[in-house]
Amino acid sequence: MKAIIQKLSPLDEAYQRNAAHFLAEEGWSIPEHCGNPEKERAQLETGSVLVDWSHIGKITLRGNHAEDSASRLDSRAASLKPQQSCSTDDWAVLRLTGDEFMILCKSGKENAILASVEGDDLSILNHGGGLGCLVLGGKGRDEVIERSSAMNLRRDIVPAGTVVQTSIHMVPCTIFRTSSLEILIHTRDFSESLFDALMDVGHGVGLIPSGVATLPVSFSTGQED
Amino acid sequence: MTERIAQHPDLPLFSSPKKSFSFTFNGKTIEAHEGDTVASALIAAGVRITSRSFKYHRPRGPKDNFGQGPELLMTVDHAPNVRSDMIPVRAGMQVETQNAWPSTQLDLMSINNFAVPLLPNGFYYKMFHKPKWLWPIAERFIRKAAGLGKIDTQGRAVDTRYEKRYRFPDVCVVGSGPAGLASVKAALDAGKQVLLIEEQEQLGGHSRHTVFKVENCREKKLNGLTEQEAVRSLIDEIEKHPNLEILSQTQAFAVYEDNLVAAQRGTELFKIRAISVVFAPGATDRHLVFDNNDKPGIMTGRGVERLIALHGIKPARRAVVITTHDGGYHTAKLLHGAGTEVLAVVDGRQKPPKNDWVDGIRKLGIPIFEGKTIHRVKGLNQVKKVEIGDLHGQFSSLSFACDLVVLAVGYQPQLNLLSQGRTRPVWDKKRQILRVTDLPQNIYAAGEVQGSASFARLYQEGFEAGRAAAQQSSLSESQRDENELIEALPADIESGGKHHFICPCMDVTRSEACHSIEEGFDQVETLKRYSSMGMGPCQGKTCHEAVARLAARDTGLSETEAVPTTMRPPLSPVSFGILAGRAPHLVPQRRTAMHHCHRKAGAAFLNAGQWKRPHSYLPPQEEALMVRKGLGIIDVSTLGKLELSGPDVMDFLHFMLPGKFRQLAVGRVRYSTMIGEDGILFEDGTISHLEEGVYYLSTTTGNQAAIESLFRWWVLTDQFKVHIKNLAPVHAAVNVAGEKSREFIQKLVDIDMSNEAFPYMACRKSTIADVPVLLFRIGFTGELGYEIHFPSEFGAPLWEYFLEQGKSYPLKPFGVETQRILRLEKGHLIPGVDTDALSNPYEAGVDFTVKEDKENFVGKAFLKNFKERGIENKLVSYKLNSADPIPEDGVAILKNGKIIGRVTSSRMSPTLGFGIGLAWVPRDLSGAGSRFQIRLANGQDVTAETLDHAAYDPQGERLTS
Repeated sequence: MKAIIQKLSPLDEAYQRNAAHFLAEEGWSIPEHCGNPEKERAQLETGSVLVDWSHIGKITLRGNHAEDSASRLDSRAASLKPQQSCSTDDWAVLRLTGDEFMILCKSGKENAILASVEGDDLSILNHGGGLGCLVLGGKGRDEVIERSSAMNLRRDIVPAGTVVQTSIHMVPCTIFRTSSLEILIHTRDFSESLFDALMDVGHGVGLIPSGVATLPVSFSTGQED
Repeated sequence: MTERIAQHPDLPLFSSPKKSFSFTFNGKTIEAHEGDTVASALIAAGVRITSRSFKYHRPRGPKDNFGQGPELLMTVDHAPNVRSDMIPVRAGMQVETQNAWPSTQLDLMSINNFAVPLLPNGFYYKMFHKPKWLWPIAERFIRKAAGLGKIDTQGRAVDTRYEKRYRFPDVCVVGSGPAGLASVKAALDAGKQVLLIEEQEQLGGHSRHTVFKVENCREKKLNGLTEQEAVRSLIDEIEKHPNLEILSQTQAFAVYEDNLVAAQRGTELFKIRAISVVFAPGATDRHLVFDNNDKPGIMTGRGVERLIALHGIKPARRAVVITTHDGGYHTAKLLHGAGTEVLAVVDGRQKPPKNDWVDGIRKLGIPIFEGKTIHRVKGLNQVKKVEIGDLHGQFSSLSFACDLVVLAVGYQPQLNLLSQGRTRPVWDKKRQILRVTDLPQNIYAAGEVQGSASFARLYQEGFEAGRAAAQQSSLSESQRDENELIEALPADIESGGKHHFICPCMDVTRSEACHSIEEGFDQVETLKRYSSMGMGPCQGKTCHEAVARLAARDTGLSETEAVPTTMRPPLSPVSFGILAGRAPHLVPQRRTAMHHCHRKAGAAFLNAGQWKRPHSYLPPQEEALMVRKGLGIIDVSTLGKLELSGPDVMDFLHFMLPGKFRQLAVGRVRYSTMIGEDGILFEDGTISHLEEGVYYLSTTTGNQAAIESLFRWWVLTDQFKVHIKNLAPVHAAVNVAGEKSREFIQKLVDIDMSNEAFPYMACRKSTIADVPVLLFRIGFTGELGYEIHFPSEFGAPLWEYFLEQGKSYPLKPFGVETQRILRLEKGHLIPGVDTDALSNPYEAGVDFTVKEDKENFVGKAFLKNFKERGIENKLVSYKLNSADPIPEDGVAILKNGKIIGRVTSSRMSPTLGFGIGLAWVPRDLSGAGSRFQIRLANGQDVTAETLDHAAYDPQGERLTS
């Protein structure tokens, strides 16, 4: 007995409450926009948007050979220090600790990456939907972050490309900062709480939920504004 | 008599307010002008009595108009204890006075004022305690009579939105007077990110209402300007700087370790973590104790200047200025310019210096009385007359009929923030002030907080502090010249009379303080605590100097001993709303992938740690019968799930767990407990051999993070070559239970589910609806059942798919409470619920999981001891008679009136028709058929019978069939 079952983000219900329009991508149902893509794109310019990227690939490499393994995907990984990253449009390699890396990638590229990083004495975990991913974009995102974390995330101290493991609204998160985005990785069971808390503090500072029509998945770190 | 003024000859930056609007004060409409605070608008409207005192309900009026004392605390828009002199008034605002009935003008509780001898300090410690029944009544009355604002119990401000903000500047500067602004400039010049916190709406501090000329300032362009103009020039220079953030109308109310400054602005809480902090909070006019020193109509010099210069208010018709320094002449000049008749300047100095200010007052024809000071004021509800005389209060020589007495008798530094939790202030004999000299690293103090000084010195000191803060370097000791010092008057002008208030907040007089000292409270700490001086809303800002100096005088303590206690946060009133924030920020919740399926199905939820889990969908008893007789499904996604692999995995399991696993074949599952190094049972779960060298460990919900951490710690410590993957968030899980479960699942998978091919305590891999799944045949519920683990992104759709496919049975969801009933029928324990920090596996009845003949494993040494000691108490299953009421979890087991054990879990078994449970009992009651008494919460006793087997399906036939 077979049925076609879609993969759902932990924020599926939250986005349904926000009248989201969903699209299918690599077996996932993901929010494309929340009813008014033009307004959401405008908000990206003037305020801030919160977008669900839970469908992206998330793979961790752990062990003594994690660095070698990550370098097979991206040779720059070998020179990364903890809290640093290297990225392309399709993937980002985040060095979390001395022997732990996290690879984020566009949905559907997981298998190719898993094949390239495979190695001995290495713990590889494809998190799939076990981790949620929320992305904050827009000029107003700094104000949302400032109201959400007790950690100093000033841009001159935490520049684009930095990886920080901290908590946002008491939810443990790995934050990957690009020049235009804050990418928040967290366990999926906290996703809705995190979404609600961010939207709550974003109230009044122009934060609205949006989808991949406004912020398509891209991991280019870019340069600071 | 107050009135608005349109211009002032001595204030070049004076501008009369333009727009006016109205608000209500005790229901009466009051006109306010743009730029007014609530208090200034009330003063302009002629309101003289703004509150009643805490204990005696004496009338109190505006004093310094700077948020220092309790006299201007009011209820504003239903929020109690708002400092009305610190908030701008808005159109439509509702302002009410506090702690008076029926009004502040006529307060019947002021009868307390005549009962002073009956209400000495600590009277409530001594009176009303006998007979015993009297205290609760007296306490209610005392609480009602004393106190400040009342909380809005009608919740009219319930929708107030509280925000929590964070800031991480390089340099945080508190205070924006000359020193604060200079600090900001220096830090900005050094390229630092600077945060400036100012309590007032406008920057500039006291210099905003000061027209002394600036001389000899290092910033040359400021020389020759008035202080008012100089700070304006500085503000214009820095306020647009991209590296500066200004938080005005923001009160820094606390300082904690590592330079954490807490500040509030309206309903926002700022947590500021700066590399360096410069405190330049300034100083306020000194509190002088004399007879009736709390009467409305007594104001401080700077308080009067604020009204004139910032709000355009002529504060009185006739005034007398009491002073000890040139600042008093400055105030007198501004008063004169505002149209107030200044009857006299009374200068405590024997020979005031010859300078423009003193000469200017003489030229205006205002008499100056040298070497004299205030003795008392008279008037029923406000100042009518002031008497002056010698500095020690012995001979009163003159009196003046006036409606304002201005006190400008020196300055006391705002020490609270510098002192908080760190250092006690010390008396600086030369500067005649209390100071905090021993500052923590990267904390700097500058300006009047170090003693009064010229603008040029304050600027210099601030600039140096700002530069040192930017460089995190040390700062040289501040200096003061002789001509900058202000001699302190005696702390109390002992001119007779009963109303010498030391602490206006708590209504403590000098005579009460002396009485407390006579009773033996003769140290500052004990005196403060017993008399409650300094413990009111102002937290000692007004009185701490007077308390210390008078304690020294009355106890004979030296000046180095009689210093204020360490000051504590908060500096000013902070609402609980500010501290609490909003609920979503405080309690993150964890939801399983199927959470909204449960919600839509009408589940009631329970909190399991941070998790929201379905308690039940129907009455739990009904759900339990449904599982026993039909088919049920429960979401068990919250279980911990660890995958273990690597060359040392078997050695690791043998070391970490008390059982043996070398014979555990691929595809088989084994129950295991976990034992701490102390031999205590703290966890249980299952180990499944998924594939060659890969094991899957399930743990309870509550322990999943702890077990992962523990395993990783041991892997690192003992260098096991083991890979640990935490699959708890990666996998969702359900348990399908009931005699039809095999038949149901067989329809969904393409593997053989028969008892022979897939026996009890086995695991298999398969797919359901193209989704890869792990199947475990285990039975926590005591029924034929399967746990199914699958990628969590398929959680909700697969849950719905199961229900849809199981409709014909029907398959129904059941909740955690139902699961608890089912497992109790089977006698399965839950670690942490049925065990505690003293439970070992022998006494808990799970010794079959312990293989003592293993070489070494965690807890082995202690287990050996436990075994040798023997069983003292035992966890047993019991049953009740069918008619007996069901005991509550946790109730006691008694024998001859003594507690000998306790019930850990207790439920009515819908399957069996009688009460069942687990209980800790002494060994002699642990044998089958033993009887013991359970004491219910209502005091009734019921008799329980010990079982040596599960109450339901003792042979396990349903599990294994």
